[in-house]
Amino acid sequence: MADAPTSYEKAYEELEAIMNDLQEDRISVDDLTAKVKRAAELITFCSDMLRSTEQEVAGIVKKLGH
Amino acid sequence: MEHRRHYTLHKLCSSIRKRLEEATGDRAYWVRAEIASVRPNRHMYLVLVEHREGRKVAVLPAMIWSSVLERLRSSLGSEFGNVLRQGSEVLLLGSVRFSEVHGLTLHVEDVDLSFSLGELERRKHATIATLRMEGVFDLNRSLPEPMVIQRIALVSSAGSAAHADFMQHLAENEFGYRFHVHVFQSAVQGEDAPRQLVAALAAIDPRRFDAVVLIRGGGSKLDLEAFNDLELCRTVARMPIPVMTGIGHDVDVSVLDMVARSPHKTPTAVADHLIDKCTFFESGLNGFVVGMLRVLGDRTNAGRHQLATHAEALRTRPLMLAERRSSDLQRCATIVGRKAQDACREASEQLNGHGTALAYLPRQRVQIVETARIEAHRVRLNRFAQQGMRALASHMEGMQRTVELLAPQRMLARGFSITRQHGKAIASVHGLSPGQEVETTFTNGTITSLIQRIEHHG
Repeated sequence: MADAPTSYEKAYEELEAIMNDLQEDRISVDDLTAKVKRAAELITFCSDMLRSTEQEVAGIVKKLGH
Repeated sequence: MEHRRHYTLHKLCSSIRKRLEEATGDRAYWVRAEIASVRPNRHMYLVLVEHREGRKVAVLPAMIWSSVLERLRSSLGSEFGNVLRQGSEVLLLGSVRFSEVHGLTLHVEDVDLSFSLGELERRKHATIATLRMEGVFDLNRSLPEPMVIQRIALVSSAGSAAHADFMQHLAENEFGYRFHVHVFQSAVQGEDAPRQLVAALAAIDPRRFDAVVLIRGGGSKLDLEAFNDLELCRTVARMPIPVMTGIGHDVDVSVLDMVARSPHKTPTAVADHLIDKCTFFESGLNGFVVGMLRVLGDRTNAGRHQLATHAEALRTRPLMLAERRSSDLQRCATIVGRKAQDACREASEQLNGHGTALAYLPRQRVQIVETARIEAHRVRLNRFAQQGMRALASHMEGMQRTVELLAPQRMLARGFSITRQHGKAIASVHGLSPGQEVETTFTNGTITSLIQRIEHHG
């Protein structure tokens, strides 16, 4: 599992990269599940972060970091 | 002791007053000066000063009668306090009076507001010119703005209506976004505002925040003076994270607005901008979700479609091949069958002919030839029959060879070809016409050609 993104920009960049790979058909069927799972995690992460208090943010980062 | 000729102080002062009154009459003059100090009372007492190259070259006390003050308060409106304050450059209409008790004083009758505003503008341009010369003017405003601004260093006057509006607007956003706001307290108007603002900005650790927000409620035009302060604008311009302003004015733009990354008209406009950025970002996330589902759907569909195509090909290709082979075989079988039938019929007819001959010959011979020669005839007949049978067998063999030689594949291999139209072999040029398409089968392939010309033979 990759680390938690350090910023919204990083998360967005990673999502863009996954999206591009998907569109270009560069992801093998084996990697597809992992990539889609990662994308879902990033989206959830960002969405949660937007609605979290400062204290909660620390918790989210910790959770995703593992 | 001799008494020297002298004047009483009052007489001297009266004399000065009289001379002055003779010289100036009641005339009023427009005087440009800097206000060195202000002492508000029922009447207002000022000290006017003029500096040249850093040196004081003139000083004169001035006063504004309470009746004049009332008039000025209504004509200057909210700018009153900004115009008549220490340090401001003013253009005053006044008459010079000398009082035996109070000395020389300028009695102010009017203040030129447009001059004061012009001064503001002049100082503003001077600040801009300095910042540009120092190369800092564009520093903050050319910083990239983060996609989401959530950790906010708020420089404002806590307790002010503007501050409360901003906080409430952020907290009550309908999307449930949370903003982490840390307040750096500062006065935002008044003489001390620039110094306090600089101090507040200096206290911000830029690594802990996405942006600085500097807000203030509405105010007068000259109130903006604090935001044209050179040191304040320099500090903002050099801020390593984006500065957003909402200092509440509609018409004029302060230098602070010019150097800040993101200037807004009001504190709530800043809050809206911050919320908008979040919604924009989140709609981007939704875009990914939708895009990903589509791509995955396409991919699955493509896979399914590809599989379906393969499956269809797998199903139909052998059938087509088999059908083609089958029809080839059928065609060959038909030809062979027909040829064989023809050959058999021919052979059968010949055989019948021989048979009839064989059947009649002995009887005729028996009837005509003597009994003695019957045996000889029989021998001959036998021999003849045997020879005939051999000939027949050999004929049949020849026939069979012919049939074999006539088999289409053999024929084709020998250089013959079959020309067909609409799948039927063409045996005659009758019924054909130029422009029609015909298909010619060779031993190892087929060509399709167009009839160009037809020549009839016989």
